[in-house]
Order: sequence, then structure tokens, then C-alpha cells
Amino acid sequence: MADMPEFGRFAEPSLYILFSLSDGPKHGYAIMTDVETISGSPLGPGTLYGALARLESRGFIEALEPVDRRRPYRLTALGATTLRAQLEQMRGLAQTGLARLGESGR
Amino acid sequence: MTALLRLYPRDWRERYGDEFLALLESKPPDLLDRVDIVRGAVDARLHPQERPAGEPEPPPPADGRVSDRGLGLAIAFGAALVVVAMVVAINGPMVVGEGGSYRDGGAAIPFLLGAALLLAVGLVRTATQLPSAAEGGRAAAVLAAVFAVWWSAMIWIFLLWIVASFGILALGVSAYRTGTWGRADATLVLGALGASWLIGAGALLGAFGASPDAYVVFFLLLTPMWLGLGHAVAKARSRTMRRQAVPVESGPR
Repeated sequence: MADMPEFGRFAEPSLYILFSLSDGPKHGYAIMTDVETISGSPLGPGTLYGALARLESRGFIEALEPVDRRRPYRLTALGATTLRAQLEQMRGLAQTGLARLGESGR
Repeated sequence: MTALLRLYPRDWRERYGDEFLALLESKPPDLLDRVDIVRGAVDARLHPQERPAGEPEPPPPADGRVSDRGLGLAIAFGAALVVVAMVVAINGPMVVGEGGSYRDGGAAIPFLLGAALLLAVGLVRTATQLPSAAEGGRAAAVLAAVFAVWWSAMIWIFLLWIVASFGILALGVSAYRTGTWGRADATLVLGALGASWLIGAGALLGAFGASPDAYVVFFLLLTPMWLGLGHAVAKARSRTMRRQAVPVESGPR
């Protein structure tokens, strides 16, 4: 993720978490199940919270008041901008790739 | 599940512990999840700066370099490298030479070199943690670090290890006497050293014949040295601060 330096192995899970929060606040378990639906791969609890801590420390997401020990998180303006930039970049990549495949006739 | 949570640093638990436990209660972790949690705990300990904005941050290391806790963990990892080296060595290819067949353990050398480098880092860090008057301990640490790394690359020259081990012995005595190391850490490091000497002496006197098992036992007996050194490096600063807060006339009890 170009705009998320030093995320290491948490880069991809972090993008999925931003994606998951794009339609409203969610707590950890809801994020975990949503990411599994989006990506097709389970997100481990350690990876989830490692990514959440990084996203929160950089101001991409913010924590809300907990409800029954479950604390929801929501996207910040910075997080939304970052997610949009990432998705635009992916769209550009996909369009270029599809165009090249079309040109080669495969 | 609380046992898994205890793997995380205290300030992390204070911030995320409740919701993390609530998550684990909603979805009880399977084996892969448990492995993932352990990885997450290691990450949280190695990257304490990864905390939410506005949360109180722990004081940075006084010298601005990597924290001693992280360094201690890295040094302790040297024990795992030694174990890996032994597994690689005992599974090496059989080679037929003039003196008969033997197992080629050359592939283990990079792992031993890595372990020796971590040992050297621990020794040098300990040297910097010693009181300024402990000049002998510092010299011994540097000597031991150089010879340990040298020996790991030329493992067949046992004299190199003998020099390194005497350096570690001198450093350990100095660190314990000055209160830089606790009794448990000094016992681990020097006990491992002593046990390896017994095996080494036995091998030199031919007590084990030509059996390569003696070398494997020798190295495995050394592994607590990395654990003790890593723990000692991680705790030296707090030990020093306690010592400065409460003056002690003699060495540690």
C-alpha cells in the first residue's frame, strides 16, 4: 500500500479493514467476518489487532465508545482518502492489465 | 484465552484486552488463530510504538537506539538458531572420505554464524551496560564477541571457542558482581558455559569416541546462554535504575 509505509505484513489486512469500514463503523468480530467475505481468506485475531493498532496510530481509523466490551471503529477522513487513493490505483492497474490483454488478443 | 492475552505487553492489554477477549469469546480460536495470536503478541512487543494517537507512549530508550527489550528478544532468538543449526547438521548428506563416511554439516554454519552474531551483539550491549569502572568486563566482552563470531565461521578450531568462553566467563562475573546481571541470568549463562566445557573436555579426552552426538549435545547445552544473555540485556536498565535508587554496598544477593 503506497500510502501506508512500514505496514509490512499488515498492509493487505489493513486495506481490507479500511474497505470493511467504508460502509459504516464495525467492531472487531464484524470486521473479521466481513474481511473473510470480501477476501475469501480468514483474518486471524492477532493480525486483525496488529492492523487495527497501526491504522489507529496513524489516524486512518478511530475507536468509538465500547458497547458490551465490543469497541466499534470507524473510518476517519484521512482513512477514507487513503482508501480511495488505493482503490483508484487498483482500478488503474486493472484497466491497464485488461487493455493489454485485449491488445494481445488472449 | 486469558493466557494468550498475557503474551501481549501490559499497555497493549489495557488498551485492547477487553475487546480482544470479547472477540475470542465470539469466535473461539483454533490452532491457526492461536499461532496468529502469538505472532501478533511478538509484533506488539517488537513494535510498542504502534499505539493509537493520543495514547500515552512509553519513554523512548535513553540513547535513542532500539529498545533493550527488543534487543533482548532478538538475542534470545539465537538459541532457536542453534537448535535449527543442529537439526540441519544431523540431517546433512553423508560423504565418503578417506577416513570413512561422515555427515556433512556445513549447511548449519550460516545458522551458527547468525547465532554467534546475536551473541556478539548481546555481549557488546552488556559491555555498554556495565558501570564505567568495570573496564575488565568490557574488554572481556569485546574479546569474547570477536572470537565467538570468528569461531562460528571456523567451527573446527576449538581454540577460538575456548578464548571466547573465557571472555564470556570474565564478563559474566563482572556483570554479576556489579549488579548488571541478576543471579538467574548469570546462572543460565555461566551454567551453560560450564556444561559445554564438560562435554568439550570429554570430547577432547576421547570419552565419546568419534560420535558426532557429542557435538550436538555440546551446542544444545549452550542454548540457555542466549536466553540468559537476552533476558539480562532486556532487564539491565531497570536493574541499574533500582540499584541507583537504593544504594547497595556489596554485590547482589
